[in-house]
This record gives sequence, C-alpha cells and structure tokens, in this order.
Amino acid sequence: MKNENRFMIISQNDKPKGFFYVFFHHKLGVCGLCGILLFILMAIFAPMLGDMPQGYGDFSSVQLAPSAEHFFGTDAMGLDVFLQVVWGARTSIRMGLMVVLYSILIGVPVGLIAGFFGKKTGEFLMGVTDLFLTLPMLPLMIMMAAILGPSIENVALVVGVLSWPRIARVTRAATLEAMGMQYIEAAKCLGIPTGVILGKHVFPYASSFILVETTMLMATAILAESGISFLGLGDPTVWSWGKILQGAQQNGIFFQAWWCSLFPSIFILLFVVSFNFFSLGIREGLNPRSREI
Amino acid sequence: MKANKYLLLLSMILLLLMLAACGSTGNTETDENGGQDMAQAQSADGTLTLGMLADPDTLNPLATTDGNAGCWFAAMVYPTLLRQDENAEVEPYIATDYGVSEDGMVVTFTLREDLQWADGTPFTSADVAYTKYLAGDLGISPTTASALDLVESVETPDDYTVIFHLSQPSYSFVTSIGVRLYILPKHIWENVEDPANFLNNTNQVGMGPYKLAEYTEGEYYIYEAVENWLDAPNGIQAKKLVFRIYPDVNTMALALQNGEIDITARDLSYDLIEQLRGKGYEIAETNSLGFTHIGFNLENEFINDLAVRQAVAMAIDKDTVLQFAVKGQGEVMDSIVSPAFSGLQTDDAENLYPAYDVEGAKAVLAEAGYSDTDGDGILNAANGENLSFNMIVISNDVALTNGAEVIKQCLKDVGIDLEVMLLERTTFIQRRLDIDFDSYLASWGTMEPMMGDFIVNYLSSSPVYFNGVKCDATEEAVLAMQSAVNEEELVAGIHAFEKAMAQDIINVPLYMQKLSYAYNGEAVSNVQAYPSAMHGVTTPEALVNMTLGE
Repeated sequence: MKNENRFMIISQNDKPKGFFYVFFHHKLGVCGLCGILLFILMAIFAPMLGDMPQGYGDFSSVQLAPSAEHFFGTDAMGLDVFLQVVWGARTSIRMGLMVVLYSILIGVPVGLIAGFFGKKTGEFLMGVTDLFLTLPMLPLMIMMAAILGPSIENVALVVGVLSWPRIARVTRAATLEAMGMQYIEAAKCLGIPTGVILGKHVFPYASSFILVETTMLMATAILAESGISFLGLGDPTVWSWGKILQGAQQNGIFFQAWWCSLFPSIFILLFVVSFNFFSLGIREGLNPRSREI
Repeated sequence: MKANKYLLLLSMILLLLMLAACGSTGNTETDENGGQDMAQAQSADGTLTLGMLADPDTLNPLATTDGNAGCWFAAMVYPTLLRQDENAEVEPYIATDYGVSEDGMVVTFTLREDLQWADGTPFTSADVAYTKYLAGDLGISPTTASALDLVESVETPDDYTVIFHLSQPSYSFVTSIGVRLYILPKHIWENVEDPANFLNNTNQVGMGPYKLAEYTEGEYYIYEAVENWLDAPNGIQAKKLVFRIYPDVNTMALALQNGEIDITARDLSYDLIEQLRGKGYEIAETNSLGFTHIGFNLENEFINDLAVRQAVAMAIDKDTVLQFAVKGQGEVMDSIVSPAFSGLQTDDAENLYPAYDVEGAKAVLAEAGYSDTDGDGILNAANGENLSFNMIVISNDVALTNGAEVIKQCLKDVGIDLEVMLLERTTFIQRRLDIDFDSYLASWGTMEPMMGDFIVNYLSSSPVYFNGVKCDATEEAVLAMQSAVNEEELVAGIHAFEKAMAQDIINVPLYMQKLSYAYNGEAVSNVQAYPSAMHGVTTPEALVNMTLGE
C-alpha cells in the first residue's frame, strides 16, 4: 500500500502528516510518554506522598509485607519501600538529565566539528569517539566512582563522560547529511561565519536525531546508576532503585522479603521501557516516510 | 579472490588462537594445579571449602592487624607459645610450661622438645628469641608491640628454655605474648631482607597444621595439611582447605546452598542463620570475645572536645543499634569491659558511661557553645562551622552498615551531622592504621582484659592505638594494668581503666554479639566454633577435628 501511495497524485490541498499526528498514532510511543509523565509526576510530588525515608523505622515494622499501610512493604531498617521507590524516581530523573546534559555538551560539538570540517579533523575526532566506545563501561564506571567518591553528580559525570560518543556519532552523521544540502552551500558562499552556520543551520537539522538518541540515553543512564548503586558505589545520601536492591541484597532478604527486590526492579524496567518506547515514537514521528500522506 | 582466501585463512587462525586462549586462566600457578583444584574442590577427597569475605590484610604473621583472615591464616601456619581452648581458657601449645617470677620482672617459658619446623629443622628457643627480635626490636608486630616494649633482654640458657627479662613488672605479659605472638623459624626469617614488608606468600615454613599452597587475591586461598601435626597424631581429615572469597554474607550463604562451600568461615547475620537453619543447615555458635564500638580520632577538632564525645555517647540508643544491627542477638554494653567478662566489671559498670538521653546530649552541646545559627538543623561551632565529622565503616558487614544508619540518625536528632563512609575491608584497615578518619565503627575480634588486650590497643604509644591523641586518665590506667605484678593488681587496673574510658570517652562501646556459622552437615561434621571472631571455626584445633563427608 505504501508503495502505491508513492505514485499517487498529490493535490495542492494535501499536506504531509505532522510530527504530533504520527507520534500520537504510534501506540508504543504514547505508552512511553505516559510512563515518563507518570515518573515525572511521581518525582515532583514525592514530598506530598511522604517524607524521604531516613535512618531507621520502628523495629516492630521491619520487613513487613505489602499492605494498605505500606503499599510496597518495609525493608530491613523498617522503612517504607513505596516511599523509597517514589523518592528514587527523583534520583533517576535527575541522574538521566545530568547524563544527557554531559553527553550533549561533549558529544554535540565533537559531532558537529567532525562532520563540518575536513577529512583529517573528522577522522581524528571519530577515532577518539571510537576509542571511547570500545572502553568497557562498567569496570571504568566502578573505578571512576570509587576514585571520585559516591555522589549522584559524580556518577552522572562518569556515565556522561562514557556515553557522549553515541551522541557524537549521530550528530556527525546528521551534519554530514546537512553538508550536502544546498542551503548550507549557499550559507558558505555568502561568507556566513562557521559558528553561525553550525549553530543556526546544521544543529537544528541534527537536533531531531539527537533528541531520539538522548531519550535512549536516559534509559542507559538509569541502568548504569542502578548498577553502580547496587555495587555500593552510589550516593548514600539519596534513594535510588539500585540502592534499594543493594540494601535487600546486603541484608540477605532478597528472596525472604521479596517486595524489597521486586518493586524497585519493576520500576527500573518500566523506566527503561518507557524511554525506549518514547524514542521509538519520536523516531517514527520524525521519519519523513511515516509522515507521507 | 586470492586476497579473500588469505583473509579467510588469517581469520581462521585468529579464531583458533582466541579459542585456545579461552582455555587458559592466565594464572601460571593456577594453570598447573589450581584450575583443576578449584574445579574438583567439592569432589576431591579431603577437601573442605570455606567461604570468607575479604583477603587478609597480609600473609605476614607479624604485620597482620586483621582480626579475621589475617590472623586465621597466621594461626593455621605458625604456632604460638600458648593458646586458648574452646572455653577461651589459656593452655600450653608449643610451650609446656610457663612462669612469672615473684617480682613480675622475669617470665620463663619451657618449650616442647619434640618439635620441628615443616622443613625438618628442629624447633629451639633461638626461634622464639629471633621472633622477639623481629617483632619487638624491629617493631614489625603492631599487635604485640606494647608488650614487647617491656622486654629488656631475652635469655636462652638452653634449647628449650626462653627467659624474658622485663624492664618493669607485667602480669599480663605471659598471656599477651604467649597467645598473640606467632613464633617464626629463625633459619628462614634471618635470610629475609625486609621482614616488615615480606609478603610470605610462597614456601611458608611453619609448624601449624596447614601451609599455603596457592592463592589468587580476591578469589581464593588454598591451604594443604601437613603430615604429622603435633596435635593430630592420626592425621588430619581435611587435607585441603579452599577459602573462597565472596563479596558479602548473602552471596556466601547462597554459595553454601549451591554446594560451592561447605562452611562459612565468617559469622552470618541472624536472618541468614534462621533461613539456613530452616533449610536444614547446621549452625555452630559461640560468643564474641570482642565487641562493636565507635572509636574516635581525637585529632579532629570537634571530637577533641569532650562535650561532643559525651553528647555522642548520650545520643546513641544502643538498644536500637543492637536490634537493627544483629536483630537483638547480643548484649548492649555500658562499659568497656564486655559482658563476656562480667566478673571483671566494676560493681557500678552500668552507670559509668553517660546514659541514653537525647535532651541531655543537646544540653551538653548547648553548654559547650554549639547552636544552630544557620537554621539547617545542624549545630554550628562559634566560628559558624557545622558540627560534622565522618565515620568509616566496613561496607560488606551488614551489622555495621545497619548500625551506622541508626547512629547517624541518633546523632542527627541532637544536631550532629555524621557522614558515614563505607569502605572495603582492607581499605578500612589501612585507613584506621593511618588514623585517616574522624571516627570509626567496628568490632574488635577479641578484647580480653586479662590478656593485656586493653594495653595493646589503648596504650598511646602502641601502633594500633587508633585514637590519635593521648588521654591522661586512660593512659594512666593502661600503664597501671601493664605494670600489675599479680592478678589482683591487674583486676584493679582493669577497673581503673573501665572508669577512665568512661571519663575520657575515646571509645563508645555499643554491643557484644553472638557469632553464628553455618555448615552443610552432610559435607562436614564435628564443627566447633571457638570463642571470638579471630578464632571461630578456623582455629587450627577446630579445623583438624572436623570430620568430612558424614
């Protein structure tokens, strides 16, 4: 059917479908968006749901199974797991945003420069990018987190520094594509400064591709943070889903108090799946072929 | 086409090389024996596999300050003059007899005459004298330094008599040196260039029931039984001991259930013990002769203020700490002398340390000039600085990490900000030795008053004095214990020390816990846990008495 559509005569009144039209007709993308909105709301309204669990609770309420009073039960310190999970959403979103910021700050300039300037600069920068891509992420993260100290900012820095190559590659590919377009040639001929061409013309073209990659990166970031927290190298002052799992594992109640391990695991899964679905929706929305009449 | 063929050939060669590389562990020692040993650990006859949580700090028996693997491995290979039985009573080991002169200045050990080192060299008094030279004169052994500092000279009138002449009387010297100093073979160690940093990781020549066969740091340690050990005339059933390292107790318990290990060499938490008991695993229990406590570094300006230390002691709800740390499996301590030695406590031991009193702690801090001037809930000193300090804790000890959470909250309630720093065990040991902390939370492996353990750890000149700055009352009481010439004087010294510690508060004792080890009854039986975490199920006598496969 699609191929047939390609040969249809387009009348003057027919317009290509808009991004939002395609996106909101992409079921998985909408599911992802709903999931993300839910996490954002959860993070924003966490203080209204309850104070951040700290220290220890009542000894009589240690390792209680889920109930109306404690939706997700309590942990080995008698603290409410639901509140830990809710406050953990804040950490996850904060962490994801910081990783994306670091990755964009490094990856976008590298990708733009590599794509815009000649062969040698591009090859050199892509060589560096490939080098970073080959680095084993988890051992490096563990090492850097151990050296820099356990804080959410440091973990984000570590993950960001190791994740920018993905953004750089996408940006470079988009830049190379843009470079072949006539309006860039025209801008060059008019003597418009390189910085302006990159910022005003090339970057807007590449931004849609970068957006798709950043949504995927959010999912990677939370997985990395959970891994580091589970290994005990996360920020001890905030709740994160990895930290809840680590507490259950350390206390030897992983299976005994299953609620301490099940709920944070489900939330990690939902968070990652939501962002992956969301990025699928965006990709579909940005794909010109999907937007054909 | 030709190029493609060569490329294909090259790829095939590379693939084969990679496959060949997969077969090697990369460890030459392991390649020959180890890989096979590890694979057969469970099935081979006479192999007992034990689970542990961290590498020893060192395999050098003099330099170790590690209350777990460091001293287990030292005791398995090297003998001491005296030892403790399953009731913690002192008994002869390689000494047959010992005595103290009336004035307490001369200590004599008579040695067994039928002993030889693992390489066949006879054991003589020269070995003891040389060990004293290494540990005392060269100052290598932090745990016996304070006792050996008292030795003026060592006399060896014959091959089987050692006489220590002391510079001052000391009643606790006999047991302190007798039980804590590992005796080394002179003919081996006199050829060691730098004994303090000697790794001692190959060809160990000792006199214990086992010797190190091989190890890979962070993974495993394999010990092999020696022939004809002095206390096992009929041989040792556990011919090979494989100690495997696990990151935490939970993984170790899973390893026990998976059949990877036969016994846990480290004590387990109450939850895990109950879980394993329910699944039919056997449990060996004993009392800790040590205790969990907070140690202060008085070099920190806040902690140097006695009011702050008093407030910390008053702010901590020890009952809650005990509940969350070990599920109440132990006893709260209000004195530096553990309830395990209740006979040595003063009559008013319970009232020596300031009692739990949150309002009282706040009042003490207010009186000392601390107030919350910036409204952040944390008190400030006169210069505006937040009343904040760190506490280092071993990260894979859940009793300690849970306890630290409670302590942090308790201190927060009185306006003190405690930064809990979770460290890997060997990093913790090193930082504590370097006094690189503000406070620490840890358990003594053993702290026996009559054996001079207080002197070892609380004499300000001791290499294992972790409090940074000397406190007069405590130092005076320690010196009184050290110079006691008889039991009465030593007990009086202990009482004085108990009061001085509560006055200076350089430590806050929290609780004494019960130690529980789990084992697979089908793989091993006749398991006896000796008192204190330093010994437990890895005491040489306990290991050689274990029966396998029943």
